[in-house]
Amino acid sequence: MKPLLLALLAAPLALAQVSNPEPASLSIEGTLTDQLSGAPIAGGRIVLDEHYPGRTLAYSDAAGHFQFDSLRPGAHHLLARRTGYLQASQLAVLYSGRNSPAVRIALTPQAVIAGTVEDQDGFPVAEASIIVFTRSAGGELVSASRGGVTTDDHGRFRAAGLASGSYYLHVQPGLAGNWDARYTDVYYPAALKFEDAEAIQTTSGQERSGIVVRLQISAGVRVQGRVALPPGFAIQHGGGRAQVSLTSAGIAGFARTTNAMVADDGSFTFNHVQPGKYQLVPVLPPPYGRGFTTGPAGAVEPNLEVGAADISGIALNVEDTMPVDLPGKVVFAAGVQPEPVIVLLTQRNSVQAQTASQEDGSFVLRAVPPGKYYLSANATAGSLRGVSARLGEADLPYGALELKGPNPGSLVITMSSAFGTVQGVIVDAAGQPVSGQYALFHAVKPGLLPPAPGKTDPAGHFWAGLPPGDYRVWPAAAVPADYRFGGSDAPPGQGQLVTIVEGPNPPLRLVLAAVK
Amino acid sequence: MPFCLRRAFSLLGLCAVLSAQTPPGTGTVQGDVTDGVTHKPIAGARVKLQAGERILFTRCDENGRFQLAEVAMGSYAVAADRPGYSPATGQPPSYARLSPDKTLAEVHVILQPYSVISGRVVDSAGVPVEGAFIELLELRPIDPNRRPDFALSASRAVLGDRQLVVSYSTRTNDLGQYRFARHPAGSYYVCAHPATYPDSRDETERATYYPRTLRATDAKPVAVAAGQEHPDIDIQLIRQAGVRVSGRVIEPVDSPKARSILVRRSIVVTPSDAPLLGAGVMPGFDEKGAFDLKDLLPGRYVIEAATTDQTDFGNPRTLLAGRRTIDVGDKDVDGVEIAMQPPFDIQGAVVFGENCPAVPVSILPRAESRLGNVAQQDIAGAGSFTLPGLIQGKYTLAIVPRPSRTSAAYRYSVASATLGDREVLQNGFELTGQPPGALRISIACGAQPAAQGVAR
Repeated sequence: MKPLLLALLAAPLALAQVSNPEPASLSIEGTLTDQLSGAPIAGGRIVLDEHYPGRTLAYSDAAGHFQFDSLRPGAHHLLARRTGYLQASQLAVLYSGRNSPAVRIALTPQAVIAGTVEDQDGFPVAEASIIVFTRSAGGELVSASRGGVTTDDHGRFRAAGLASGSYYLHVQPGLAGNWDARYTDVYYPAALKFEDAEAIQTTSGQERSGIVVRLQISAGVRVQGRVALPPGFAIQHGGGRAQVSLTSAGIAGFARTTNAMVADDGSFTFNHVQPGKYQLVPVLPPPYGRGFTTGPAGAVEPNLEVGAADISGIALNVEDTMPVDLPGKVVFAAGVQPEPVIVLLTQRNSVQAQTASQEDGSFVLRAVPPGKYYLSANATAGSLRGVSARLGEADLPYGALELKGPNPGSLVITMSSAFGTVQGVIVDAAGQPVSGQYALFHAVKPGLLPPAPGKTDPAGHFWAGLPPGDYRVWPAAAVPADYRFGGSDAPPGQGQLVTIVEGPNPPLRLVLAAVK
Repeated sequence: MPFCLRRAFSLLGLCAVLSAQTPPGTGTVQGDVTDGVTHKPIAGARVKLQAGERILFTRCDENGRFQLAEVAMGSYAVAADRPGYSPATGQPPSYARLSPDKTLAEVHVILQPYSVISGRVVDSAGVPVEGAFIELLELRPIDPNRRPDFALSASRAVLGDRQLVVSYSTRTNDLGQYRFARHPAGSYYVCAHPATYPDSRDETERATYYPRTLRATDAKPVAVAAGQEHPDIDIQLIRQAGVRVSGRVIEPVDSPKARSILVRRSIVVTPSDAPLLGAGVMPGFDEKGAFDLKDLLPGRYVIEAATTDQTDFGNPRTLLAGRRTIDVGDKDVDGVEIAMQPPFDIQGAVVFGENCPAVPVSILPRAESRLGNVAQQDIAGAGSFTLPGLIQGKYTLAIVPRPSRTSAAYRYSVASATLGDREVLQNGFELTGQPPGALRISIACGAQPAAQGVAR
């Protein structure tokens, strides 16, 4: 593995083997083995060049052997996966007229956490959903389970695909809530609060079975209030009825929402609300779904704190705010063939307004309520992306814009197909490649697109695609929460200034700061 | 513990004594919980009495009996639960009613044991497939109003005059195991779709029916009785390379021009006697009309093509459409031509019976084809209308008279709907290459107040 790595770093190799004119006559062969036992792994799937047109799949045979033929010189990416193991990837470099030395890919056996969820009667709980989470290197709680984990009719669950580490379980009551609505979310083993949760340690290849989660009954409190609608709005409209949604902040981004119907007199009631911070939002039936606000438009902060006592008398005053039409124009970078462009305004990750540009590039986003939005623009086909935008005279870094007042001005969006790709490696202070780390980019002059972070694979490699421009790049153990919106920059003295040009760029080598 | 006390009383048969001791304004609810198949008592079942927000819990003794004393007057829904049984309230739901005249209520709750179908999915190499999508399907009468679901779903496979519809779905775990429990007894088909992790997807791996076939016609149903478990419904996914079908659409010389620059050129492939489509078949055709369908398995398919423009989101207008049926073997097929033609506009008229005041009428033709999009037409009263943009294919017709409150003295119904000289109210119609005749809708009314008449 090491010679290949060094070969990659020694010189800016042409990684785009797709356009390589040399004949496809080379081959890569290798072996898939168990990292712990060293035994060959049969039936593994090895994918060559996952993200390229020449994607090919091979299976490892009984001896763990696999082979790819008819390849061109250049760098080839290998990804190996086999049920029961963590996936791994590796780069192999083919030089003209020479096959690569045999590749050896070792897969780490997965860890599994398995057990049952019981209610207070000791009955198994079906359809309880379990979130397995862990602390990232940056200290944040992040989900670790692949896909959803749910108990079967015997209350059994299996959370597989885990690496060696320390995990917490967050369990929702599933069908126990049908039996008794007071059943509430718990953390393993039976904790109502995360502070009382116990961690479960796993090591590679280990199955931690027999984990029993005991659901708890907690009556919680009652939350009551009243929705006041502006004149002309109705609680019941068409087939729909106004509701109020109560969303808990949740852990690791797993917000939990319950809805209560609004009665004819405007009142609403939530029973069994557990202590915590919540966001309370009225949801009106169509056609009122948009064009109204409660308090500050686009507020996302929790606005309700629930403690040990019932809460009543909450007033949700819905204001009828006037939506505006937001006109604009799409312009195309030099040499770009104009195309229809879809323009979107999003808020809290949901699309609030969308339209398509006309033949002359003009568009109008209609009936947009006041508030804070993110703008994005993409061509309906091909690889054109919105790279920068202005509203009136103001640049919109990362597409952030706020609409207020009746005359918001006009949008100008510049489209370009120029795109740069860069690969690299993140190493620790000792020069060893580190997996699961992020290469973060901060645009010196922010455009419309947030630069996507590159994450390192088990060989310490990352890949990133960026619009051309100047960036500060630095390695980090986690992606900061505000990264997506351009809110984070390199820590002082750590950012490495790079200029990304269109097409493949020279590989980067990022060194993690030594842990003090 | 109160529970022990109750059990002791129940065992000793002291019910009469208990009810005599009951404080005023309360009563006793007692009864049993039995197995709906064996009719035997279910020991240890738990019981819930619910009247509004008042909820009481207890548990059955080893004879399946329970008793709750000092229960406030009222009408209680009685539910029971025990692992291995559907936690239903029994069939029909049981109620216990306590009143000053009746202070002892006896309830019998029956729980149905659920059936289980479970098994393991492996790939062609024999490796357990994690994350395979498994569907439990049942044969149901064909619903003409139900459009084909997304291409991956097995829900539209047709067997004779019935079709397979998905009743339950789940995913396999890391051991390749799946388990369908808590569903009623019946006869089910099982279909396993390859895992959807895109990075290790094998495009030649196919959705496979139990026991091991690509075609629904060869699939074997699994009959399961209440309380029965089929633990070995194992499926090995079949790998088979598909072939390529290419060709072009032939547009008429005087094609209508798109009004928008957002033009969509779609191809939809529907298996009519063929295995399910793989995920790779999501094609369109290019500006020169060429299309290239990859990865079709042997069988008979209907290929439909349409050009639509989108002047407005959600309201596409069909400019040209065409369809043809092809048979695919195990070799690539080239040069398939699909003749395109403008869609039809159907002219129609609504007439009302004698003495029937005219009311608004909504007309909605539903196309069987996923490419057929016809907007609902709302007609103010008697008179003519146009259904624009109907492409070739089968349609059903929903016609709804919408009397206002003032004319609700009459019950409206659809007496007939004819297209040309054919009655189309019951069975809908099929548009071929020929222009259809006019659609004539007759609305009748009777003189009794009633809800809206609905006809298909």
